[in-house]
Amino acid sequence: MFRRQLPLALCFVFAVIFLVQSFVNKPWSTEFASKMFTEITPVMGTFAIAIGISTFVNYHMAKMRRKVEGWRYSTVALVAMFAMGAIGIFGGIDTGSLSEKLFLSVFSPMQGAMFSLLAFFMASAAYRAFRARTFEATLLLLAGVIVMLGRVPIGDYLTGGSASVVTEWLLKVPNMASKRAILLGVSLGMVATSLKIMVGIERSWLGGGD
Amino acid sequence: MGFIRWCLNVDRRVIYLLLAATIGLGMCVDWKMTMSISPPVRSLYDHIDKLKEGSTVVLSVDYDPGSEAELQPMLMAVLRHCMKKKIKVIGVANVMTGTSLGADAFKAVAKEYNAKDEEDYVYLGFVYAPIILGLGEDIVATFPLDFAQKPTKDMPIFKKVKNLKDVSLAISFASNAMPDAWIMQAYTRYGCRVAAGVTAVQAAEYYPNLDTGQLVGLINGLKGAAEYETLVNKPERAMRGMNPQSAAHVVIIAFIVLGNIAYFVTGRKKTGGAAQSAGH
Repeated sequence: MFRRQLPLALCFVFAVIFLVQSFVNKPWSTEFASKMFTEITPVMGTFAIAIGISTFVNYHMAKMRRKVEGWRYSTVALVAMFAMGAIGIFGGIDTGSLSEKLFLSVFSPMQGAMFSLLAFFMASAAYRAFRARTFEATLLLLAGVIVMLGRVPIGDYLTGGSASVVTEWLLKVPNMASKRAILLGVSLGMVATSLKIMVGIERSWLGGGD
Repeated sequence: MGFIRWCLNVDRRVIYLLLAATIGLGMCVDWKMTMSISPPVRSLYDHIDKLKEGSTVVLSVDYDPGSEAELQPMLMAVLRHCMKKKIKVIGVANVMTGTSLGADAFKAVAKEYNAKDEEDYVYLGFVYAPIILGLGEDIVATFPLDFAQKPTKDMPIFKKVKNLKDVSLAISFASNAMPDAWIMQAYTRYGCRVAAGVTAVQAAEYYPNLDTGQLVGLINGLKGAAEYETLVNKPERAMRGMNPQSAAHVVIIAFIVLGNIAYFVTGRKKTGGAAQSAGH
């Protein structure tokens, strides 16, 4: 009962409460929403951190115990997490603190480096994928090249200013027409899925492959 | 024919090397190019420019260090515009790993304009809460402490500002879907005008929201940031990034053109190009 029925009942009750609350513009209704959003949900968020840390530790401890491939990386992940946590808790997180220095000097450049590698993969992939094999591929190729030119000042320099104008048109007309169609479809799908979750038809969020 | 065959199947390491060399060269060359201003950036600039002195704007750091190169320059350019116009700025972060980036930007720009902390601006940072809904209800209750752990209750900036209904504009600088949340919650629920600054790959997603007026403006990638820097007359990192970005785009286009010429000259035969594509 506690694993299935109770979460389903809570989901239904709170979904109905917030659905109704959105349409009731009375002081008691807005006060209730205010209390929920500013006081109750931060408490729930804090519990989520605890669950997150425990899942992270369990996952990596299991990998280390079983000595599966790459278990040494799990050691690094655990040491890094606890070290950063301890440095932040005992040394503070203000500007100029060790925690901030480590964040800005280690984490930030590493994540930036990972992201910048994408430019190289994209260059190679664009070279191989953008071939005028079919009519549709040719359209994609032309649009891609125009947008690439339109998003840098040299494009305007080479085309006398037309690259950015055509790029803006591509984004504003063909792109927007297709995006709107997709958005409408996705939104209807979201409403349908939300209703299914509310009434308990969709239960995959409970886990267990139900 | 040997060169044509080479063009059809250039080793990816050659592409990487050429791209790296061109980007490096672009960083060294100081070539000033004229910057055209796109309508969405102009629209945001005009909107902020028309705000009265003393109005309040919320700037949300919704990105992490991976997108710092694109989004930090736009945050700083918009901050400069607001502080120059004596508009009060409240900074928040919806992505925990972006919190320090926001703090750095606020500190640097406030120093340039001698803006007073707690009075002209405040950086609240991140809390585990639905931040937009919290700001919509009660900013001080959502953030009892600012990023520097000072109590927000008696800060002068919050004397006239209780929640998003008292805010003239909220701008989400995002490398994720946070602008959607700002539109759905801040604009639809609390009637606060919203704008966004996003990475170039995301920008196409937000044109429908721009057209409906749900977004008052949109800064699109590093070029958008450079456009904003041009408008505020303070060319900085984004402008410096335009030369390497231009060079990289030209190299990619050159490879695409070469690949297609080779493809047509060899009579559109199936070659190893497709087979290699899986491995980039």
